[in-house]
Amino acid sequence: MAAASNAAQAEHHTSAGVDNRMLLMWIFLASECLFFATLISTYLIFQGESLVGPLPGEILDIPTTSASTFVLLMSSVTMVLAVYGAQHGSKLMMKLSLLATILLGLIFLGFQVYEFRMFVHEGLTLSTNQFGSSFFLLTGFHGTHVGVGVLYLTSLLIGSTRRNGLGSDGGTHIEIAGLYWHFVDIVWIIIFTIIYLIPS
Amino acid sequence: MASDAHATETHGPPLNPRQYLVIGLILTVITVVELWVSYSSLGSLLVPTLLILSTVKFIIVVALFMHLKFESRLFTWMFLVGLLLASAILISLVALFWNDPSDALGGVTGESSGHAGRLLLDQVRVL
Repeated sequence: MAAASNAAQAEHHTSAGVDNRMLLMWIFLASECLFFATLISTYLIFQGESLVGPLPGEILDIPTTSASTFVLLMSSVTMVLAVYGAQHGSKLMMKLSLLATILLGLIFLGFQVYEFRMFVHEGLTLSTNQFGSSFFLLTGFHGTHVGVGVLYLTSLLIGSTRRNGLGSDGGTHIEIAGLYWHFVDIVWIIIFTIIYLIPS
Repeated sequence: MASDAHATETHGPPLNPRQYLVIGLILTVITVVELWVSYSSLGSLLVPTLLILSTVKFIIVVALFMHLKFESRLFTWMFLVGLLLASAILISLVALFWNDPSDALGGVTGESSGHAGRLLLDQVRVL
């Protein structure tokens, strides 16, 4: 089994001496930086350009969003504990931490759905003004990334319940998923500061 | 088990669960400080303070949770290239539209560009 594991490891290593799946994820995350940079730029360019309300200062609920930010931060902690469990042979720790991460991700999405519904109720939609367009576009795409992350982690959790688990290099699978999840978290750190904390 | 041992040997995170929890606590404290700062009257120091605090959170997560501090330098460079290009795009676009003389539309606030965008650009100029 150790020989099979070594063979599997060797298959995924590049001439640079790194795992090519990890390298792929880091390159993907680098491209995601560009993606979110354009969306954040759009938000900043349109800020203060809205001809009609509601405006950010009238509608943004900072305490509620702070709670959802805390939830996403805690999901990063549970995710890193899942990686630790996977890489140290503690399957129970890995599964429980993965489950906690999924649940925290769903709670974050619940907060976002609540916020979106509240905004629509207050009269802010995607087509109301520039703020609405850029806000829903940016936070919506981030929420989509969280949703994809939840599905990704759920597939790994289901996979880990099989008899063979996630295979001989399951720790790497979880670590790669962790990279994606933490990236979603750091994007929210920036979004939270720019949209909610910096006064408009 | 052999594979687990191998994985631990080659890719094991260098931090233990207790340290991860402490890092999580530090991130939470920084978030609370950010909130306090956003409600305080720091004036011109408000935006740079918030930017510094969020940058610290960003670096902590990338370095310690994503293990970039302990991984191959190749990953660091890959990510840095994307991050620097993204920063360049953001600064260029915001600067371009802020300095656009044809943009005299203004909004309900009567401004020709975003407040946050202007504050960010001001900070970049200072730096």
